[in-house]
Amino acid sequence: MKSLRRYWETHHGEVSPLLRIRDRLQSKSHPLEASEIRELAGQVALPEATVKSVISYYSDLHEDREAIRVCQGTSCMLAGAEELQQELQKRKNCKAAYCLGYCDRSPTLLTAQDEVICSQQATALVAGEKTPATAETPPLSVRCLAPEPTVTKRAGANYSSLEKARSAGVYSALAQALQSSPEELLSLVERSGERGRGGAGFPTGTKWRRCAECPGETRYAIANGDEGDPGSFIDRVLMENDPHGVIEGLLLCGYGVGASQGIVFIRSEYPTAIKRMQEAIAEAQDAGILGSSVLGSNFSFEISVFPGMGSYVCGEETAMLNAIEGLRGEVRIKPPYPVEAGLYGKPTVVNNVETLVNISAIVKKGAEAYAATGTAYSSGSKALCLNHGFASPGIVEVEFGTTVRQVIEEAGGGAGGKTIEALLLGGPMGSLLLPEEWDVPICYGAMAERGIQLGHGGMVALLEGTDYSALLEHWLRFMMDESCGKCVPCSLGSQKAWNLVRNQSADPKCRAQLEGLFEVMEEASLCAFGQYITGPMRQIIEHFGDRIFTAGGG
Amino acid sequence: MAVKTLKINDIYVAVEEGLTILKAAQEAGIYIPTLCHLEGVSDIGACRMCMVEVEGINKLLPACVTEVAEEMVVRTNTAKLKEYRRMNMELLFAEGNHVCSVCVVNGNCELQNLAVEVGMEHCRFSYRFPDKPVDISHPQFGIDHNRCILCTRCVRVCDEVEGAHVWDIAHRGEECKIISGLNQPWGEVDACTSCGKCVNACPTGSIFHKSTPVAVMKRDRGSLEFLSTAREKKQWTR
Repeated sequence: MKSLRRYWETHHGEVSPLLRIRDRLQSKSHPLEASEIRELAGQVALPEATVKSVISYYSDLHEDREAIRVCQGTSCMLAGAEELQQELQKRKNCKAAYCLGYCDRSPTLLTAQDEVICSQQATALVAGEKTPATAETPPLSVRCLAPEPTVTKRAGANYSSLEKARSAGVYSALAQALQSSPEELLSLVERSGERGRGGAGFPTGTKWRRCAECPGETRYAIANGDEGDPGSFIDRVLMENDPHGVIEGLLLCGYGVGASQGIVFIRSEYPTAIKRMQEAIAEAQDAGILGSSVLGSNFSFEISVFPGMGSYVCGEETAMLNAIEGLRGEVRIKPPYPVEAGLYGKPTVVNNVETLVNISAIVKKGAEAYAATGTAYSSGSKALCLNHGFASPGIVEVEFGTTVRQVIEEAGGGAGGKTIEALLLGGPMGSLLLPEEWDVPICYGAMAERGIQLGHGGMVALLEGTDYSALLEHWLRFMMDESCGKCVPCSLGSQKAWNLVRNQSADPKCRAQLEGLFEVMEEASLCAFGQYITGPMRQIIEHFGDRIFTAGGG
Repeated sequence: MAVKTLKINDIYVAVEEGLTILKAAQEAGIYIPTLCHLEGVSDIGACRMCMVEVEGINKLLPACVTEVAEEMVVRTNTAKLKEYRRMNMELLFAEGNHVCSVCVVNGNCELQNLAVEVGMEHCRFSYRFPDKPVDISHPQFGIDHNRCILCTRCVRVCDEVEGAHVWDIAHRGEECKIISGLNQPWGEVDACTSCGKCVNACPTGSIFHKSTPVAVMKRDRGSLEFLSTAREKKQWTR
């Protein structure tokens, strides 16, 4: 909105209004009184109605902070998280959260004290047993099928201290890049053929170049650590175990595009990642790695952490920019793209955390050597996140070109010797793959040709006996809960579709109506959320419709 | 001034660079249905009624926010578009309590006109019959949330033209609702200047003049257009 723009610009260089609103809310144990909100609105220079609107938009700003969060991500849902929450609700104060990033150890709970309780410990807690001393939380498994690890090099252990990170080689690529010009770095990233790992697979170098060439003094570099897709957790692990690797990537991005301010946007469902990133930034600041003279050069760069407030849509780059500016996390109309007019209207690069961690490898290896790995369309390697449905869950790094089947075989197939009926790849906007499709190579190009979305690389195994009706309902519930509400097909269509599946699946017209709704959502929704979330749902209906629609409409 | 030539429904149209497809169509006398669009305030592309097909682009584009380009080939009324618009209307009707026979704007309602326009004879979805409040705390005006379609015209006109920002949208997804001030009764919001711009902006019978009988209220859209033209072009005559 035109006049809101004016308000936004006044926040430039100051603490975002959203953070001030959050801090004010957290300083009180009960919701704010009208007079307090009025006072707060004056302080952050936003209209009273907007402050009220923002508080009601973000879950963290109005939901109970003391409640235990029960993960309702797809993997946890398959592990019975819904029943778990119903059971826990009887005795404890709890609420649902969409993905805490422990899909390899579902189900998962997160306490108000930021303690993660997962797997059998979670079920034991809910059942009212005292946590058995023997049942330790199973450790994260990080494996690499590529000739050498790139992203997962430091993901398997805690490298969050600067000393340990430095001894593992972090910041040496930065020192090397600072010896040459930003232009050389830009050209290097372009030639490497790296593609963004967040899901869209857009060439990183092209994005950087477009931002660098936009006129203007101020630019921003943002690391997207929102990782909202239930099913993936690589970004959480990277930010927790390799925060300096993320900082180095963001510094390189800033140097390449000519930005002097960086932001790491991290969802509040990842409290440990927020803490470790903040500590690492402070340590890097003290060591002169961040600040007015990065590693003694004349490149100046600062990084701050911006915590998400509980909204999936904020993982979309323009919604994220709105959140940082202190507004509702609604998607902006594109064009203009963030590289031209992003944060506060300034050229902004938003890169996924995993994408950034790759940059130092590109600098060290050289563009040509990096481009030689993977496939012609997708260079390098990708970290895949395998959920607890696999015999060996965890993070598996593979070179692009490896087939899905190879990954599943490496993971030993389904957990408990069960058959995997289908694979959910790439989160809510990803794809459902039947066994006959598993020979597809993991590559943005090869997959796009077959209409498959790799997304952020989350893999959820659907084992024999899966309740597809419940899965479909879960998908629509997620869409209803997380739609921002701006456009009609997504916000109203999701609710109508959910109602159809929940209450009218015995109606012979149900399936046709549902498919009609999906078509409108796909074609007419404002952003990728409404346009692509129907993909996996259509596949669920296509392949398992007879188990969902009871009237023979399937 | 650069000129762009495009083709809308097989008619060649030459318009100023930077205009939207909607503006170009209007200049050529071609009708594109709109709902959240309002002359004089910014566009948000949210209602999805003005979606059009553009050759060479594999998705539909909202005409209100898509700029024209040289040699663009636009179709505004294909069978596919008609079907989507109709379903979009059905979604809106199923969501609220749109009972024309008892509504102040019956016969003068954009939602009603559009439903007729897109050929919505019935609604395929089950009605929700929500229990939403009516706020008549303001001395002159009232807002019936049952008739609100969340187009946010009132929010934008109050923010951008009047500069009062009484309205905003609260919550998210299907729970969205229009709020005044701190989600308090409209009559208690200090920021409201009682200018009535929101009343003139509302496309349905949601925001109304109090004590208006059924089917007699007409909105003065011209006054909003006059204000924006006056401010932009310094033409203060009507």
